[in-house]
Order: sequence, then C-alpha cells, then structure tokens
Amino acid sequence: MTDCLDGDIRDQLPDYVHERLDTAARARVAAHVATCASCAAEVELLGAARRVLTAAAPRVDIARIVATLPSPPQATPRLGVVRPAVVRRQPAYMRPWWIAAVVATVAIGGASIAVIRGITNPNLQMPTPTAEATVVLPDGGRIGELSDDDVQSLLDDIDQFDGVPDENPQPAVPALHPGGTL
Amino acid sequence: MPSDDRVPPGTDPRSAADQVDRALITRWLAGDERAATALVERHAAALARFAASVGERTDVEELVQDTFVRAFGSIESFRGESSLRTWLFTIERRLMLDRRRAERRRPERVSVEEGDAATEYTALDGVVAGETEARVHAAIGGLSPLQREVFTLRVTEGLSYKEIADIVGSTEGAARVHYHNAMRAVKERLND
Repeated sequence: MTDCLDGDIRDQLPDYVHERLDTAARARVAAHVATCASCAAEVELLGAARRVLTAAAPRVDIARIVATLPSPPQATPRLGVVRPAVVRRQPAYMRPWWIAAVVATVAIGGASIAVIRGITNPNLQMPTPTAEATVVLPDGGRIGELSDDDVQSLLDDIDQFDGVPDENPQPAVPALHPGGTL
Repeated sequence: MPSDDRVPPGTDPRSAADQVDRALITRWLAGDERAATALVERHAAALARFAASVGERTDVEELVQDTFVRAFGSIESFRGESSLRTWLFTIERRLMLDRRRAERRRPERVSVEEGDAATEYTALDGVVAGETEARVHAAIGGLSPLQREVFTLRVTEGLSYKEIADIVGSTEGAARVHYHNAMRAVKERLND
C-alpha cells in the first residue's frame, strides 16, 4: 500500500492517537482517516507500536529510587536518621609537624646565611669559642644560678614565643632566561 | 505546520501536567520530601519505557534512578523552558550515551554501534506477545538507534518534534525527517 500523499495529516497521526489535537484538527484528521486506507493502517500501526514499546518496559521500584534521592534544600533532618559527621581536615600549615619544619628551616637558613657572610666578609669578627660553653643571661647572671621558679618563668616565656611566620613561605621559582636556561 | 493544530496551552493535558510538575518541584524545594515521590511516580515509567525501547539491555531501573538523582541534584537549575519530562529524557539519554562510551572503551564488552541495533534489541523479544506485536517489535528493532529514539518519543510518549529535537540534540526538521524515515522503514519491514 502506498503512503498517503497528505503529509500534514500523516504528521498529525501520532498526535491524533495521543488525543493531543484541538477539536477542529481532530475532526479533520478523523474524517480523513475514515476515508484513507493508508492513514487508517498507519493509525493501527501506531497503536500496535505503542503497545509493543510500552510492554517492553520493565517495572521500576519507585520507593527504591526515592530512597536514593538527595534531601530537599530546606528539609529538616529526619528523626532517627544519623548522618555522618563531617570531619574537616586541618590545613597543613596548622599541623605541628609543619610548624616544626618551618621553624627548623628558618633556623637552619638563618645559620647558613650567617656562616656564609662570615666566610665572604673577612672583616666580620666571628666569636671565638671558649673552652667552656656558658649561657649568659641578659642581666649578666648565669643560667645555672637561676632558681626553679626563674627557670619555669623563662620556659613559660619561651612557650609564648610565636615562631611561626605570619605568612606561608612563597615557593622559590627559578627565573627562566630567554634561551631556555635557568 | 501541523503542530499549530495541537491543543493550545492551558487546555492541553500536557500543559496541565507541566504545571503540576512545577508545583511539585516548588514543594520539594521548600522541603516537602513527599513531592519527590510524586515526581518519581509521574515520570519513572516513561523513563523506563524510553530506556528499554531504545535498547538499554540491563539495569534499566538503575538508569532511571541515576536520572532522578542527577535531576534532583540540579533541579534548582531547571528553568522550565521545556517540560520536566523532556528535561528528564535529556538527562537519561546523556547517561545512556555515557554508558555506551564506557562499554566501547572496555575491550571485553561488545560495542554498541549503529549496525548492532537489531542485536541489542533482541533482549526484549520475550516480553512481546502476539504475532502482530512480534513483527512490529522486530521491525522497530531494525531501526538505527537515533531513528528508534525519535520513533519511540513520538509514538510512545507523543512528544512534539520540537521536544524530540531538544532531547536528541537536533533540529525540529531533522526530528521530523527521522520520524518519517523510521515509519517508512518499519512499514517496509512489515511488508517483507
């Protein structure tokens, strides 16, 4: 059987089957289908195809799907539902090992600079090590002469000392010269 | 064009359905979790139909579930320019394409190409009863994946060419051509 030559009507047949045409269009298509064997056969085919495709669909478990959905933005927590606590990781610069590493780097770097300056500057007078290492306090006293309370007070002062720089050290990026050499 | 004769907005059952969907989305956004159940009930079967009819062989429910999870995860971005159902079909189709691309990358799996259309479709043979339905089913199974998508959305869901074009990422005219080519191919196979 040859297809109907009325393309507009054929285009509307699925809408006709789904009852999605307005009253006038529906009446026009119905009148055409009643007299056109090709379009009547196509309407039959559309119905059969719809049945086939619908029957082929598996059933889905609505409750199971709903259970996996996220909570609505303004939902209050459901009673009995325990949500895992969010564990926030401390930033690296707040961890003790990192602070210790920064202090050590600053100390070693400072000492290295002092040594290098001492080597390259012959006018710089390096302190002569004494035979016996002694710690002299600012007021002229010796550490061995401090009482237990004084030592504790000194340790407390040291504890108060903030050895962490205010800003993170910037990474040293070697300059690349136009020739591609460092 | 013919689509001008479709029921005007306000009286079209689908337009009313869109309004219901939007009301349910608003309720869900306001914290009403039951609205999610209603939305899933309204659209899950259509999504399962689409997935199965275009040859999704396994885990149709998982695919439908993933579609809803993704949709609800970004539902605040749903601007209502299309119907919710069209939007859901678009999400589901993208998920199916992602799955097929992933399957192609796995050497041990059979790839899904245009030429495999009939092969992948045979998974549904068992659910079709009756000689006429079986022949129609086989004829639809011979369509290319894109033809089958367009044919399914037009015949089973009654979507307009504009909606189909939005879902499959083509133009309205191209969707119309794909539908008529599919219909002609189905008829030819039935007449063989």
